[in-house]
Amino acid sequence: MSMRRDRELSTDENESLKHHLYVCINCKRFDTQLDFLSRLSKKYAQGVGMPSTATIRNIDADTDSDSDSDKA
Amino acid sequence: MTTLNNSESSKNTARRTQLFTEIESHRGYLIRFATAKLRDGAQAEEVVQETLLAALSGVDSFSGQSTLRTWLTGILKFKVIDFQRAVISERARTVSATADDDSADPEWFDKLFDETGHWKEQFSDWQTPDNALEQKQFFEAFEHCMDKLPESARRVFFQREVMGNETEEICKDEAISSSNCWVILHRARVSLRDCINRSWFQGNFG
Repeated sequence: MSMRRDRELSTDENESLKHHLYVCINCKRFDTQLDFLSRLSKKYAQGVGMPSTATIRNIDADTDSDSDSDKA
Repeated sequence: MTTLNNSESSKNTARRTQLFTEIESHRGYLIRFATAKLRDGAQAEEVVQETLLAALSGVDSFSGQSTLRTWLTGILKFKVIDFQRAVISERARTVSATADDDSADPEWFDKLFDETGHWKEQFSDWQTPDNALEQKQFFEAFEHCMDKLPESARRVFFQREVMGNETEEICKDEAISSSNCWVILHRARVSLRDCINRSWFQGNFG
């Protein structure tokens, strides 16, 4: 299960894994959770859950509009 | 005029303070990223410090096309390469990837399975796991779990799953065989799954 995330499995290995996941509910659940772990890692790399870049944009916008009003 | 200048100056100061806070909030991730590449916490801190300073002085070039973290990571990659170039002639690769693995409990992995080779633990379904991906606390729990991995496992996992590097590249980087790399990755995933399960889905946060 873990290895198929790091290398291509042979046809036999794929068949064997498919069959095993069909009969082993616990393993299927584990496999799903490993999928989630991969997704979580990708989100983590993107900085999801961290302060958004919107703050920078908002500050820029605020500063610009403030400057404009100051000039006016 | 002086009043307007003072007002603009204080706004700029406030803006820079807020930017600093926002950029600074990515330090933990950047240190992990740099440590995965450099294998040295102190060197990683040094490179990240340079990265954050470069980011602060060049924040105007951030277009917002990517996330702030992606932008910072791009700067960090160049800093890491610069650093590696500077020290590559003096550095010897002496750290074995498996040296510290399993040192606390060499049999921890075997203990997860019964005598027939099946999992001892019955895994429960994680309810709406995607909701956790919206919560900052969950990512803190994830970081905490990664920090508990043996050092080499943490580096290998980070390179594979977070940075998305190919295993061949990681093997070369770590000077380990492919099969060793797969074993380390498998154990890291098992350990992380268990930690996240206990600390979040079955624990206080979930």
